[in-house]
Amino acid sequence: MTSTDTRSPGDGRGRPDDSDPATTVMRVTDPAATTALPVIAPAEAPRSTPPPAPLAPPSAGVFRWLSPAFALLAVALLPLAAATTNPDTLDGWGLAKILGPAAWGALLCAVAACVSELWSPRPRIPMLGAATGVLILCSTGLPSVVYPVARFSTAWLLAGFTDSIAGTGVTPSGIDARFYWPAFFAQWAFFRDAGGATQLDTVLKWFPPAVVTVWTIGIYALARSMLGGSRAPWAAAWLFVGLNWIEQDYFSPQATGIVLMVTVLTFVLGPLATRRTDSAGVPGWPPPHPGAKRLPFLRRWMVSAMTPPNRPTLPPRQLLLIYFCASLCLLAVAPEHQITPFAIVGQLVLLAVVGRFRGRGLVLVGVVAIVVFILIAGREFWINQLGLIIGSGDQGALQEGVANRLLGDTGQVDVKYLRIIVPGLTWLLAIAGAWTYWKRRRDLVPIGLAVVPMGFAAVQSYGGELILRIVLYGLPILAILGTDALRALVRSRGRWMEGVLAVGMAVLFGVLVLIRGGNDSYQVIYPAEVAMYRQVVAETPKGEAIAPLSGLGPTGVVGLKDHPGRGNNDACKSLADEPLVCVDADAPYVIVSFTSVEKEGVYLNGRKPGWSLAVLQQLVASGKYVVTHQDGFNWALRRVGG
Amino acid sequence: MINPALDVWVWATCGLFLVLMATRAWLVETRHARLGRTTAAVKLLAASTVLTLAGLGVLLSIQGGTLLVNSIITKTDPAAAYYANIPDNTPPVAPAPGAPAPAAPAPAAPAR
Repeated sequence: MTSTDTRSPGDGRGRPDDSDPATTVMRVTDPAATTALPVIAPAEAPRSTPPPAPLAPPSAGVFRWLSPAFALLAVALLPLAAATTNPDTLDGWGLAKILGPAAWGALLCAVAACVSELWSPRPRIPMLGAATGVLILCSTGLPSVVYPVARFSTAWLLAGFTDSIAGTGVTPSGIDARFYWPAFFAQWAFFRDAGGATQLDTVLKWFPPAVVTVWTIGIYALARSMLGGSRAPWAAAWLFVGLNWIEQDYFSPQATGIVLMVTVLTFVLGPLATRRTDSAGVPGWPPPHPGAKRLPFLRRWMVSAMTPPNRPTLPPRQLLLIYFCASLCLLAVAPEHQITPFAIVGQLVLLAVVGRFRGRGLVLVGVVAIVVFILIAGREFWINQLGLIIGSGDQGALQEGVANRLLGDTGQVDVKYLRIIVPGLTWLLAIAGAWTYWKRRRDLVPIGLAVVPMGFAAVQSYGGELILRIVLYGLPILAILGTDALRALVRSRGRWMEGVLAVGMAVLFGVLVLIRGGNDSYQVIYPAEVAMYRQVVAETPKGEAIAPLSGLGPTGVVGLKDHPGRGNNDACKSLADEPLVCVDADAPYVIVSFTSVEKEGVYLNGRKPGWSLAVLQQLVASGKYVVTHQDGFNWALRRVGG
Repeated sequence: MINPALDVWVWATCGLFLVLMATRAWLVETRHARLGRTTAAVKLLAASTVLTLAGLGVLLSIQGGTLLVNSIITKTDPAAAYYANIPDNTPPVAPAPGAPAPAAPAPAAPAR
């Protein structure tokens, strides 16, 4: 009964059982004065005591200071970690083996800062955010802290791409196929020119923790939409950081592509999210009458597919702003990276088919952006290198991405097995989470979002990198589903499980440091190497080729336009394989080698220590080259006679 | 036959498509319509969008779509057909010599 019901049985008796409790607390001071309305006896006597005061929020107690103290301690330990870590002693086990107690202590303190704030009776969002930032700095960002400059030869090469666009604003042709997707390089060339900088060394160094922070913000927003609650989204963000061993967060178009992809996903699973419901808001399409026979399966699906999704409860202008931003991301990702647009459009198609977001035109925008960009802007690419798009068919992605990489010494091989085990466990946890999610919401779409990128394996050739991309594109959703499974575990087993998970988190981040730093013996770069390469480029006449002994080190960080490399040579893929034979076939003007090349040979390819110096001596003894620079394993040779 | 000079029309049609989509979204979200009804303006814009999309499809098929699909189906090299039919007889663009695969090698992959 509602307060508008003024009907009375007419016998002067009220219907106390049917009265609205909200109206019964109104005190009737003089029933005789309100003759226009039937007098309804109060259901209970008016309270004489004041209502109890609301419960005071629980006191944070020691937790108020615990998390900030751990976070500050973690940050304070980082300079000590940098001072006590010696990259010269890196071997096949990589970074984890050379880290001292200070670095591990910083990582443990960062984990403790996160966990203690999450355990607090009143977790503070700013503190959780700060603790997450410290956690990223002490795990993903640890190499940025302990190494003098950015690691990864690829990051330096991509900085060289940026360098070749800076100043002129024109993309050079005939250098590298990646220039056909120039948005990232053009963007940073613009930033570099606008900032008046001449190189991006500092950006390269701090790019990984910065971009992972941005990704993590997206995961947190996604998890808030999918999981709800105030603590689970943070756990999802940490799980994502802990499982993100794939290391595509260096200075690269892929890293920015993931930012755009997560942004679009956050929009469609957050403010644009909706479900197909009946007019009462019940998900699905119930039978028309209770007890009536259900419609045939195909018809139920047709009805469901043709029912427009509900409209999100947002003001029109906010919806339009979100459409605009999502479209902008979809348009931006097309010239940014080769396969990220396919990942996001695939996920959008799935969500559109099941009616999970408003604004299905976004799918059209994404498809048009990809098709127009590839067909028109990338015409030169597909006309000349069609095989790269449709796949060479030489080797499967699994063979190339996993089996062919199990090389190296014991440390290398063990770390690589860990890289296989961790995604496997991630998927197992996510499948458990999908089951939990299904029981809770009768929804299997999230696990479908993680499965969509697997379609790449069937339609695209991306060499050995494809497996990594499949894991990477699915990881945001996998981490969120995994968190749902862990939350269900804690709820079913009791609070002691939280302690177990806290220990598990510390172990996970330790494993993360081990896996991510596993290749550091030959991926770490030294300032001396960068300086030598820049000097070599400055001293080499324009048009003359500079070739690395192996594709490592800061090769290509400058002078890409002026100094062509050796190009793809099937008979002699790397100078290090057969140096004299390769030089006889095609002698570059300059040959450079770095410490990383020496260590790659030792720890990955099983060569004897000092092999790169032996190559140097062979080349000099051949009479074709003279030494122009040498500092330990860093050396440069110049061709005799120009 | 691909004519690079016609690319500008592809970009223009693409821009028109985006403008029409944006206008339609504006109308759909800001106008109060009865449940299940679509206003005439929205219907007109939807039809225009479909037409533009069809036009874009035709232009794209002329400007490379057909050649690309043909090459994939028949597993033939599109370069020969393309350079043979450039209308202004400009010298063929040399294939990027030794351009590596599009992917950057992932440094920390189960690598190497």
